[in-house]
Amino acid sequence: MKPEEKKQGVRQLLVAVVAMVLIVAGPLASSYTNRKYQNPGKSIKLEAVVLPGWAKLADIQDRDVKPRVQKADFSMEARYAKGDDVIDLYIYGYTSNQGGKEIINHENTAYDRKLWVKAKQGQYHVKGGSAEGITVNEVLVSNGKTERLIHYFYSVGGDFVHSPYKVKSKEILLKLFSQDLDSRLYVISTNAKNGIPAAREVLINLEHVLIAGK
Amino acid sequence: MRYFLAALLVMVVVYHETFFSLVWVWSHSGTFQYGFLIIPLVVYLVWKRREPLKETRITCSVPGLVLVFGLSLLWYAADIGGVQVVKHFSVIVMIPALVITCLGVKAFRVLIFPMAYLLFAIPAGESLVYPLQMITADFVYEALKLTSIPVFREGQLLHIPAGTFEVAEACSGIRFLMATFILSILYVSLTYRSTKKRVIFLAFSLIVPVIANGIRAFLIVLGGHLISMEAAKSADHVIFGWQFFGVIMFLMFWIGARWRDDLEKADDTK
Repeated sequence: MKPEEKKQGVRQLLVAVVAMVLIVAGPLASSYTNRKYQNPGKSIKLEAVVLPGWAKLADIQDRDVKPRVQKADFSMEARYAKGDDVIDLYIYGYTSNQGGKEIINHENTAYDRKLWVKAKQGQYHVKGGSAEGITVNEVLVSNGKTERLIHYFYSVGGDFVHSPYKVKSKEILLKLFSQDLDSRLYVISTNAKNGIPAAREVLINLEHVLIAGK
Repeated sequence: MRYFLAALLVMVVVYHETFFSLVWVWSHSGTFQYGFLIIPLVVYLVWKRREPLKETRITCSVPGLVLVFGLSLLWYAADIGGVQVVKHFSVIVMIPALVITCLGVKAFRVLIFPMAYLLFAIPAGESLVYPLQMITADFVYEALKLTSIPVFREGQLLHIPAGTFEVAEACSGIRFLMATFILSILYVSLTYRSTKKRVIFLAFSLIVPVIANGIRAFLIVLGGHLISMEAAKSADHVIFGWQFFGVIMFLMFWIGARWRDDLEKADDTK
C-alpha cells in the first residue's frame, strides 16, 4: 500500500469513528436530559372557572359532547347555562410528554369521531379586551341532527397557544431547562343551532374569563 | 465502503427503537404501508448504480460530520419533545448524511436519486387528509348537481334523498395519491430522460388520483341513489377498493409508456 493510500485510509477510519461518536451523541444527551428532568408527577388541582352571570350546572349529563382524551394527569369539566345558551368546558392537563401520555397525540381529539363529523375547521382570534387575545382552533361538527361549535387551544407553562407545533417546542424548552411541565388542553363547545357567529359569541364569554385569568 | 457499513450498523443499533417505531407505523397505518416497498426499491436503485459507484473515488467528507451531528441533535430535541415524525426524519436522513461523510460527495452524487427516494420511508403527509376530503366532497357535490340529483351539503356530509354520505378520512384518497406519486417517481426515472416529460408525468400523477378518487366517491353516491344505500356500501368495499386504483395506475403507466425514451441511450444513474 502506498503511503498516500495508507494516509487516506487512516483519515477515512478517523472520520467514520467521529461519525459514530456523533451518532451516539443524540441518544446520550437525551438520556442525560431525561434523567435530569424529574417529572414532578404532582397532582395539580384545577380551580373552578367562574363565569359571571352564568349558572354553573352540577354536571355534564350529555356524554356525547365529551372530548376523547387519554391518560391526562388531571382534568376538570364544567357546564354553564344562561337562558337557552349552554357552554361546556373541559380541561385536560399533562405533566409528561412521552409515550402516549402526552397532550399532542393523535388519540386525543376535541370531539368523538365516532359520533361527530367535522363540517368546518379553521382558526379564530378572540380579542381579549385589555389583555392580549388568543387564537383558538375552531371546528364545526355535526351528528346529522345537531351541530356544535368547538373551540380548542392549549396552554404550556401558562402561555396560551393554538398550534400543536408550538406546544411541542415550548415543552422541549421547558424540559431543557428542567422546568415543570404543565400542558393543558381547553375544549369549549356549544350548540350551533343559530349559526357559527352566534355560537362564537356564546363561547367568547368563557374565553374572555380564561384570558383574564391567565 | 466498509467504514460506511460499520457506521450504518452503529446507527441502526443505536436508533433501533426509532426504526422499530417506523416499521410499526408502516404496518399499522393504511396510509403508509408503501413504506415497506421503499427500502427494497432503494437497494435496487443503489445496486443499479454499482458500476458508476465503483468508478467513483471514495473519499471522506469532514463537512458531512456536521450534518450527522445536526441530525443527532435534531433526534435529541425530538426525543425530549416526544415528536415521533421528527425522530423518523432524523434517522432516515442520517443515511444519506453517512454516505456523504464516509463515501464522499462524489459518491453521494451518484446515489442522489436513491437517497432522495429514501425520504419516502418517512411517514408524513397526514395533514393532507382534510384538504383531500374537502376536494372529494367538492367534486361529488358538483357532480351530483350536474346530474340533477337533489343534494344538501354540510361540510363533509352529503345528504341525498336516499340517505346521507360522509366523505370520511378513508375517502380522502391519500393512500392512492401517495402510492401513485411514489411509484411515478420511480417510473419517470426509469422511463424518461427528458425533464419536461418527467415533470408532466409527475404532475399527472398528482392530479389523476385526486380526480379518480372523486369519480369513485361520486359513483358510490350515485349507486346509493339509483340502487340502494346497501349496494353503495358493498360497492365501496368490493368494487372500488384497490382494484379501481390498480386499473387507474396501470392506465397511467401504460399511456405514459407511449412517450418513453430510448432506454439503451437513457442513463438514469446520472
